[in-house]
This record gives sequence, C-alpha cells and structure tokens, in this order.
Amino acid sequence: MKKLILLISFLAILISPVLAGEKEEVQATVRAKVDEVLNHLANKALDKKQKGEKIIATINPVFDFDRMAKLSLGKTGWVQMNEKQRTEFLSLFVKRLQESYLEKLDLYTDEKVSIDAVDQPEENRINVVTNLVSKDDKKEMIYKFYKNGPKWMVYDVEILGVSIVATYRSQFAGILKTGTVEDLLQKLRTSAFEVPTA
Amino acid sequence: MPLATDSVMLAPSKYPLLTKMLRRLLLIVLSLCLPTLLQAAWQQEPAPKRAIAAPTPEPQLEFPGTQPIRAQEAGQYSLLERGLVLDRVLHLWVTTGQVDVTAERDDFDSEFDAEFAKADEEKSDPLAGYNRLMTGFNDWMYFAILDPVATGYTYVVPEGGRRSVDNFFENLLFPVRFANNLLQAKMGGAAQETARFTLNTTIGILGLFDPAQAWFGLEARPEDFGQTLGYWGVPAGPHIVLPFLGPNNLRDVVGDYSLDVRLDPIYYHRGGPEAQYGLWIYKEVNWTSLHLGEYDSLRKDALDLYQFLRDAYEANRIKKIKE
Repeated sequence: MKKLILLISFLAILISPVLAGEKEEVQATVRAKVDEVLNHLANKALDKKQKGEKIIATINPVFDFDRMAKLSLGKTGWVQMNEKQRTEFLSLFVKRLQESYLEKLDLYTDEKVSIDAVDQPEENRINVVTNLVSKDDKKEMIYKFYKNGPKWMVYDVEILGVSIVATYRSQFAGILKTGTVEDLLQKLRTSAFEVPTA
Repeated sequence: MPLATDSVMLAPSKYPLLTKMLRRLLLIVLSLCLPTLLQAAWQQEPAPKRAIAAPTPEPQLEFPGTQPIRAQEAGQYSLLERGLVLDRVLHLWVTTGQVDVTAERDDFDSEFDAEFAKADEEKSDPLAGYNRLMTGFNDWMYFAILDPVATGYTYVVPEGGRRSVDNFFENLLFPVRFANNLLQAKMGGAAQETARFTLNTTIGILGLFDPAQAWFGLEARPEDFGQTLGYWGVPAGPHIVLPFLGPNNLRDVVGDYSLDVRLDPIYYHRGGPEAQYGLWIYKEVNWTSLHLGEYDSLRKDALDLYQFLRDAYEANRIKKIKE
C-alpha cells in the first residue's frame, strides 16, 4: 500500500511537467510559424500572390479554418443549410478568413512580433498572446488554440480584444434574422477581398 | 530459470528474495519507462470520429485512445498497454468529473457555446436606425475626404515629421493619462506617464520625439475617462455613432467629450474655437496619415458595416477597461 501511494505521488510529479510541456509546445509552434510567415513576407523573390500561397501553406496545419467557419456561423445557421450550401459556405468563408489574414499582414511589414504570454485557461485551451510591435504602437493579437485530438489548433484569433469568430458570429446571426441562407451566401460570394489592394 | 513473466511474479514463490528483487526491478523499469509511456499515450490518435448526429449512448467518461484497449479481452494486456491503462487511470484521477471534450468534438461545437454566448446575445441598440445612417456618412466621409487629404499630406510631409507631430500631440495629452491612471488607482501607470512626460518634454524636445520608449523602454499607459467610468462600474449605455468621431457609447461620450477634453491643452488655446477645432482636425489628419489603409483593411471583415464596427468598438473598450 505504501508503495502504491509512493508510486502514485511519483506519477503525479511526472505528469505535471507533461501538462506544462503543452504550453511550451504550443508557444514554440507559434514562434516557428510566425517566423516562417515573416520570412515569406520579407522574401523579395516572391510576388504578392506567391507570398500569400506560401503563408497560407505555412499556417494551414495549425489553423482549423473549418472549425473557425462553423463557429462563426453558429449552430442555428448550420442546421438551416443543406449539404450543398454547407460545402459552399465552408469554401467561401475559409477563403475569406485566409484573405482577411493576409490583408492584415500586408499592413504590417517592418514590425516585430513578440510572444508575451501563454496561458491555459482550461485543460484543452491555450491562448498565446502576441504583440505586433511597430515604431509607435503595439497591437495585441491572441491566437486561441484548442485541443483537437492530439493536436493543438487555432479556433479563433483575437485582435485588440476583438474576436474574429465572435464578430462574424453576430453578423451572421443578424443576417439570418432578417434574411435567408441564400442572402448570407450571396454576401460571401461578393467578397470584399476580391479587389486587389496594392 | 524461468523468465520473469507475470505468472512467476504473482505466484507464491519458492524464492522470496528473488521475487522481491524482480518486483523491485520491474518497478524501476516501469518508472523509467513512464515518461515515454505517458508521452505515447498523450499523442495517441483520438477515438474514431462519430457521425454528427449520433446520439450519445450514455454519459460516460471517455479518453482518447481508450477504444482499442477496451476492445481487448482482459488478461491480454502487454506491458506497454498496462502502462497505458495506468496512465488512463491517472488521467481519470487527475480529471475526475470532466467529460472529455474530444469525444464529442463532432457534435456541433457545443463545447464552444459558453465561450461565444456573449456574441449570441441580442444587444439592446435603441439608436440603431440613426447609428446606421451616421456610420454610412462617416464611411463616406473617410473615403471622400479624410483619406485623400491624409494621403496628399504624406506627399508634403515625410514620415519622420508626421511621427513627430503625432508624438507632440500625444505628449500634450499627458494630463488626461495621468489623471485617469490616478483615478483608477494605477500608481505605476501614473508614475510611468510622469516619467515619460518629463523625459519626452526635455530630451525629446517638447515631445517631438519619444526617447522614453526608444531609450528607456517606457511605454505609454493610456487611460481615458471612459475607461475610468467603466472601471468604477458605470455601464456602457447605448451605442452612439457620432458624426466624424465614429463609434462611441454613452459612457465614452461623457468621459471623452465632456471630461477628458477639459484636460486637453488644446481646449485652452487662446485662438478660440476656430484654432481649437483646427488643431484637432489637423491632429486627426496627421494621425490618419500614419495609419493609412488600416480602416480599409478593417472594414473588409464586415458583412454588415455598422454592426461590425459597433461590436469591434465595444469589445475593444471592454478589453481596455479590464487592463
């Protein structure tokens, strides 16, 4: 019996670093991905489109875009859609999220990205607080991870306290309150991001 | 001499000392293997996905990777699996009372419901009709006037100059930041703002430069009356979009345009309202010239511009009040 207690306490000690290790693991992922993205941005051999493709390929493995899309739509919208509409919604909205991310990056070229905090509010949630540091200000950007099976993936990004998912979620709810699923899809089809910026 | 199999270990032995030693050895080996086993268990593939609408048979505790082990007959466990079972038991022990979320992750995102409940709330918005109109006007005004003027201005004044102008105006607002740090009992913030003001006004030549940040790493600690009121529990009140000034709520209108403004040196400019408004407008144009493209980029995330700007504004204010 004594041995069992000893063994259990020994195991408990072993487990705690495993749990703590998750935070460091996610933090390292963010650091690596951010650096990779910044490298692509700084690469003068690539044109804008190629940069975009490289950046999306970089972040794709850690961004759960489908999850972000579903969360943004919410259950009410999702059940109103048929299979075809769901497929269209996912492809349109994921594209929109990606373009929105690239668009944001477009503005911040000479800035540094610092990782300032990592917290684990729940066992299966980790928030990585980063800051875009420029000459005159700092912009806080929080990458929110959840545990998807064995993998930690981003389900939301919060910029200056504004959650991407939450803002889309209430906009979609607003559209569906007065309009139909078709109206919603129509809005997404005429994407604001189609107009080339630079 | 038979191998140290389980049967030998568990059977009453003719060689008590040897058994004891073997047990010890096993314990040591197990302890040494544990980190690896735990790691392996942690990174196991999750249980096979369930169909979206599949009804949960009964509430039960499930953990990633339990399926393959449960499927096996008792007594066929290998040493590795024993380690895994042990780990599961411990996991259970650690997370008692929690239903594992990965097991239900294909049910429609119910695990995220609480997190976005705030976004789902119907917000009271008595001025929505007027606000929408005013948002349209401000949006038009930005692209028709402010943006072109600020862009033209960038051709006249180089970035360094514009940044200095911005620094100068920011430095002037020291009384606002100082007072509101004090009013929120943020002594550190008040002290830091004082240090910044002293350094930037002297070494930074009347605030044209920001050596406090560049050389001493002292960052601005902006606070305003809207935040102070929020800090002391004054509710935001209805959302109001002001002409030219954009999204606001009642609390911030009171805080920023009736209280803060009295701590803004420009308010006391002897030139009267013409000079004061002239300076405020110039300050705004200068600021915009340093942030060209940001509004364009921001508004692309909007499907409904008014609602988007309103929610973004309120969320940002809540965050600032919390800080």
